[in-house]
Amino acid sequence: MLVNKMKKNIAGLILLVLAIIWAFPVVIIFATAFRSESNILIGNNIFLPEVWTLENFKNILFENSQTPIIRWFINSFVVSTGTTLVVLFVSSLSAFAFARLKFKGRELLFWILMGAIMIPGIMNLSSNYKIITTLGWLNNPLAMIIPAGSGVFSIFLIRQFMLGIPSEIDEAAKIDGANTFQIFWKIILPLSRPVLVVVGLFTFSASWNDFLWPMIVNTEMQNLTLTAGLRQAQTSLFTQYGKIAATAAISAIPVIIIFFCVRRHLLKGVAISSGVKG
Amino acid sequence: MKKKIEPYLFLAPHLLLFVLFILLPLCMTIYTSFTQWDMLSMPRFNGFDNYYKLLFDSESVFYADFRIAMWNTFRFVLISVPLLVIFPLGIATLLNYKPIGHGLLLSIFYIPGFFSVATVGLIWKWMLDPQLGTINKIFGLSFQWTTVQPFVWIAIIIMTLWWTIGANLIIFLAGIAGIPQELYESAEIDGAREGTKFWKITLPLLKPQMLYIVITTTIASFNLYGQPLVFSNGGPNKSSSTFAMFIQGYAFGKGTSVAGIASAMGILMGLMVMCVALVQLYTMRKSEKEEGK
Repeated sequence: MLVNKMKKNIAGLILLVLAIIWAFPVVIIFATAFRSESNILIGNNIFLPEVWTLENFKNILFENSQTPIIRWFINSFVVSTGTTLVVLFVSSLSAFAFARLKFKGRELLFWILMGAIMIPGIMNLSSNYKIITTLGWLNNPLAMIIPAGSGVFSIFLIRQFMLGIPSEIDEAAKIDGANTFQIFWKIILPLSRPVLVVVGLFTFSASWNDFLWPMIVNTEMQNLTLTAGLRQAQTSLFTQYGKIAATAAISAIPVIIIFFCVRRHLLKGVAISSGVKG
Repeated sequence: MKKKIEPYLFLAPHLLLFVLFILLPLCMTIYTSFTQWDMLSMPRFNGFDNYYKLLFDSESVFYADFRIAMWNTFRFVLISVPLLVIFPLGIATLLNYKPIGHGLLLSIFYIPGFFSVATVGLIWKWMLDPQLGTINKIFGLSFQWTTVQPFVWIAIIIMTLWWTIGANLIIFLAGIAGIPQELYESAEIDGAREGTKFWKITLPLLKPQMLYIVITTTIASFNLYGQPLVFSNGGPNKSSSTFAMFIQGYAFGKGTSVAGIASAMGILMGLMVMCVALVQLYTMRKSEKEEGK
């Protein structure tokens, strides 16, 4: 057992070194955010600032003409939440059908959908833009929320998880007189909470961090999401790294907070949905 | 009767969105790849002209761009995919020893994934700034990370590893966690060392995860877009430009849009990704079958 403890400690040591390396850029970014621009240009930029300042945050939060951060933040929140709900709803319905219901062509359809993962999203950009303009959804949050529901990745993860739920539960419910939708809504869905949390987290994060699509479907600067708006602003901020760092910090914090809230479910949800045997 | 249509009712919402935002655009892209289109007026059919320009017309700038994209993208995939598989696997194995604070350690590796690609590119651009950046200062270097090759590519690879390790890490971790302890214990009784345990037990049992990770990582690497865009704007001299960057630039960049060429390049890129992914799927499935799985 002493040998085991030693192995644990060696692993821990290696991991510690790696973790320090990994955390380093994050520390730098936050440190730079709290450092004044003039200080940055002087160039004594190792590690933490000598003088902590909030001026970068103040500048980008309150110089609202060029960078309406608050508005963008709200936009991001609306879009990301909406997207997450749409994806969870649509994908779990579909995953349930693939995992639990029998119908002709089930396997074939599933693998055709999975094949869609190979399609590079970028090549359909102009076509999707055309579709959005035809629908009249330019500058409309729907343009960022609804298309996301077409994704197949979430269906894959949720289906994997649902396959792991014993079907005796369904049988029991059927005997009690539940119809299919009730089995889905009242039994399978609640049991799928771990994977739904994981998919929700991934979806929210991806939506929050997307900047290309929001920039394409919004012509008015006001309607951009936080990440897209900051990306646009970053091109005009050039080497004002203090402000850039502050924008990075602001846009990363919400998702990090959510991550810490749902950490427990993460491993559980991924375990069963990634095909772990036993 | 009701029973028969039930499954389709469940599938309908997603399928509707799938047709509208994946299938339909795909068909449109295939069509526009055979046209000249500036995204403002109607596309004008021009046969294989776009493909000719991309693949065979050595005078055309698109031909040059295509070759640059091939070279850059393929090379990135070949270098980054092994790194993005081996590193997370190693870290997952170490984490499985459950040292103190392994939960926190996992979070540290996972958190970079929550920054947007724009932020990641900028963080690293800042850290690797030749004059003011932390890295050059700490190590007393003067490498021109953002403007000279191969430093630009090295930087892009490192930042990609830093940024995306979390996703594969979690999957490997979950996979390893599912391996029954008894297997390791009985191996230890037989005198197996750590290395043997890894190669003979852990690795073979991770085949499903490995398949999934190799394919999805490859596809993601082919789609490299944000990091080179933000870090080095595809430069110097397009040397860090990728397929995705060209495609986006052709359709939505400055000046007149050449969305037809964008579509054609997109189709070619899609075909390449599909071939590579299918080959991977086939080879890895085959080896699974041979081991009698």
